[in-house]
Amino acid sequence: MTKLVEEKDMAGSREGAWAAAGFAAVLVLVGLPVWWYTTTVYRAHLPYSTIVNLSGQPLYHATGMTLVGETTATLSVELEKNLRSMQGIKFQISKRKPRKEEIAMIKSAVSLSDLDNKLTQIMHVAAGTLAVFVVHEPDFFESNVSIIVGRHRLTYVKPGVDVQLLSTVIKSMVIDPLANKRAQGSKLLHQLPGMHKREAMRQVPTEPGYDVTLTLMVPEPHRTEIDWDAKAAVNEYLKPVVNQLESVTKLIVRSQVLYMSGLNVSPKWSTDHEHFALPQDQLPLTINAIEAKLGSFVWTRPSLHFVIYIPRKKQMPLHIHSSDGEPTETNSFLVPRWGGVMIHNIPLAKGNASFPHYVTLDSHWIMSTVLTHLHRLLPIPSLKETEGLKILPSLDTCLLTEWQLDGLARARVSYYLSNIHITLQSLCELVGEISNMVISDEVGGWVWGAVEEWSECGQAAREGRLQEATLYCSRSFTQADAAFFHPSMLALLYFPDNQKYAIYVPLFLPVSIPVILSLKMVLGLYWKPSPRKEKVE
Amino acid sequence: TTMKLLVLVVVLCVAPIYANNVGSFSQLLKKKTHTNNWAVLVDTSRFWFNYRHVANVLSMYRSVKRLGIPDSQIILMVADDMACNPRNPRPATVFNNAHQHINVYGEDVEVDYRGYEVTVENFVRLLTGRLTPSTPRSKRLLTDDGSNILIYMTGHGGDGFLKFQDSEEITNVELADAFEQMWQKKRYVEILFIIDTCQAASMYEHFYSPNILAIASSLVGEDSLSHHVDPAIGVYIIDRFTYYALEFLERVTPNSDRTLAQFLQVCPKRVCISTVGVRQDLYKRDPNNVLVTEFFGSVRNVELTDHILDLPKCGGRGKVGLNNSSGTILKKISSPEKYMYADQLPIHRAS
Repeated sequence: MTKLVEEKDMAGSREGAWAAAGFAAVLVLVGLPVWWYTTTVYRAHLPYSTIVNLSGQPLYHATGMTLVGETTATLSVELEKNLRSMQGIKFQISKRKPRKEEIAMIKSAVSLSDLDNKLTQIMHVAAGTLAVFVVHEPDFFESNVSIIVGRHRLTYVKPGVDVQLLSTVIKSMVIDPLANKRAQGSKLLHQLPGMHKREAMRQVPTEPGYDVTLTLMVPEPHRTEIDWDAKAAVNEYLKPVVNQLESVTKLIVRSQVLYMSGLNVSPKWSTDHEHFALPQDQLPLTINAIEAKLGSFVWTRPSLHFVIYIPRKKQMPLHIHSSDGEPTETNSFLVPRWGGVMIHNIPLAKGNASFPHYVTLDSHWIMSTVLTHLHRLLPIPSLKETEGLKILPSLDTCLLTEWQLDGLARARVSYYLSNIHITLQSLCELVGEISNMVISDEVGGWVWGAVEEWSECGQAAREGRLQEATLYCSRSFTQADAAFFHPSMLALLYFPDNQKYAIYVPLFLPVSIPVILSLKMVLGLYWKPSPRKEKVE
Repeated sequence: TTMKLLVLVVVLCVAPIYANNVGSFSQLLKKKTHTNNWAVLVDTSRFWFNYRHVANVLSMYRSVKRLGIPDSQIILMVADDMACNPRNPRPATVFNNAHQHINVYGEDVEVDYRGYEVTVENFVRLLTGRLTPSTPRSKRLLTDDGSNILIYMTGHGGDGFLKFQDSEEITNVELADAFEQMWQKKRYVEILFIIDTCQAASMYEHFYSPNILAIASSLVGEDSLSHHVDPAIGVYIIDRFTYYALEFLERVTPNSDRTLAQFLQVCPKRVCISTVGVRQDLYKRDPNNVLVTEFFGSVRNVELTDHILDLPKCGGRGKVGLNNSSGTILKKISSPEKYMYADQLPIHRAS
């Protein structure tokens, strides 16, 4: 009797066991794959390993330098040693003897600038390289000058020139030292050592394009009617520079006149100088009031503002005083990373003249100040005239010299390379952290494009092909930024791990517990027969 | 002699304090590490009975604007409109004091995110910069690696979250991740994070990015209390922490030398009832050396120009002069202007 019951029980429990096994099988063999395929997100494949490889590659510019002329062996050896210590730039110095036509040209030179132009034409110094010409002509150099820097890529030196001075000059010409430090260290501004802190904050961060806005502020238009042809001034002074910089950076120039708003300054009358003195410590707060009126909300590009301020009649003439109480010659100041402000005083009209007085502005002074400020805001290398150094002035153009253009391009490429590296690395980390973030084809395309152009740019920089490097880098930077700031890359849209458990556990646990417990029945069936068999035997 | 010694000791202790204050403004200015200032002011709650949160954030907006940060660098997010609420007995005004000293709504308030636009997603998109391409410039946080950002948040909060619009929450983990994304892309130098909600200290617990100084109006487990009720309106109109913070800020001028350390002491327990929590371990500088205006104001390091480039005259007129009026009248008789009807719809032309 009991055997029958046991057999019936066994049969019943066997069916139950098969049922439990069936449930478990469906859950594992059908359910798990279906869940897996329906919850995978589309992630475009990204070149992670390439990014890691490229991050490890060294960042430097190869700059070719030709030493022309008869020099002592020690000069070239010392020069090479000094220049090797420069971070981020590798100099490739080649020597050659001067050709007959070059010597003849130097002998028959009419003026230095004329010689410079003609010699550049026949020497064909390539873009991104420099040439140093050792001139043995006895009367070529003035008494205490041993280095003359030309407006193209040539530098003329005396045979017995001081190597330290020459290497300092070349290092300053090749790239702006601040920009180089920033790009090499890729540190934050306030982590740069010592005296560079304040100056490092002066230069604008490198972006593909800038909006340059010229603003003429006339606080009392009922008293003075200003006659300044801004369009002509921009066309004559700024447009050539903008065209010259086209390949390196885009500048879009706009101009406006702002009436009835002034700077909130309280200058004091200085009897010594017979003008109103504006002390230096009032300057930091001046532009806050006018910033909202300058129209910087029109575009999302970063803007550089250049303000020309005509003082009010009761504060005229207005001069900026430095901390030692003396008026500055230029009557202008630079606001780091923002732009520049200059105060343009106009002559006071005679007592009984009718209002408004018509005044013409000194366009040359205004545009020179604007260009000075622009040179300081962009990482354009500059040289100071020191003992023994002469810089050829420009006679008919306001353009940058060619070595300045090269220096600017190098600074921008260095900055781009370090920035792209940070952006792509951060993007990979973000994507790795959130394993179910969707990476669309658009983002994937941009990342692949950015990586390709990044490696091309690095290669071009290491081989000294500066123009190509600039092009590749600006494209790569734009693509990397577009991928990083794509609206779909928002971590918030995807569940973090701790919230995933909160969602999956209540869904799957109530279903899986009975199934797992019923598996016990299946196990029990396979384990039971063996002890019974033993008993029979 | 002991009296003399005592006087000497007192003088020696007091003198340095005075010496520090004289000229400390310009001294501390030299140690500045940023070039521009931004402020993100967020009010997350709606409904009439949360009037005080709107008053909180508008009072902060007023202080920040008064100390110099321009509207183009302030992002103001207000979840509900109290000034034009039908229950407001004084329309178009928002006061933060029952005696109606200051109308914090003012005449030139510029709200960037209003009403239902104040969501967790918009806030995180704003911080990380991942906005849609059509977002206008006034709704973007265009900071760079030289920006100090002041972030002020107020509303209803709990342990580890802040409630937005009565329907969603932002957790402290999400906020910490947003700041980390900002740090990775170098979108700030330093952040001053102030939060005035209940259990506010939980919101800064998970921060792990450097250079953030966080101030919370209450610790975990404590509630932040409001200050006083306006019997005419019938709701509480300002919170305690913000009330005392404002009292401090109203006495700060754009060139003042009040330090952040003084701001951290602004609401002791006897007036605030809740304990003000501060997180300083991520902030490297000493708050005694940081001016309040480095976050609340906009003081720039200007550089005087020593000499300008010696450029040749590229054409154009030369000297400044007074013209004869007759000359300019002649110039004005030019060809008559052609008038046209303006476009009915603003059609954007490629500029």
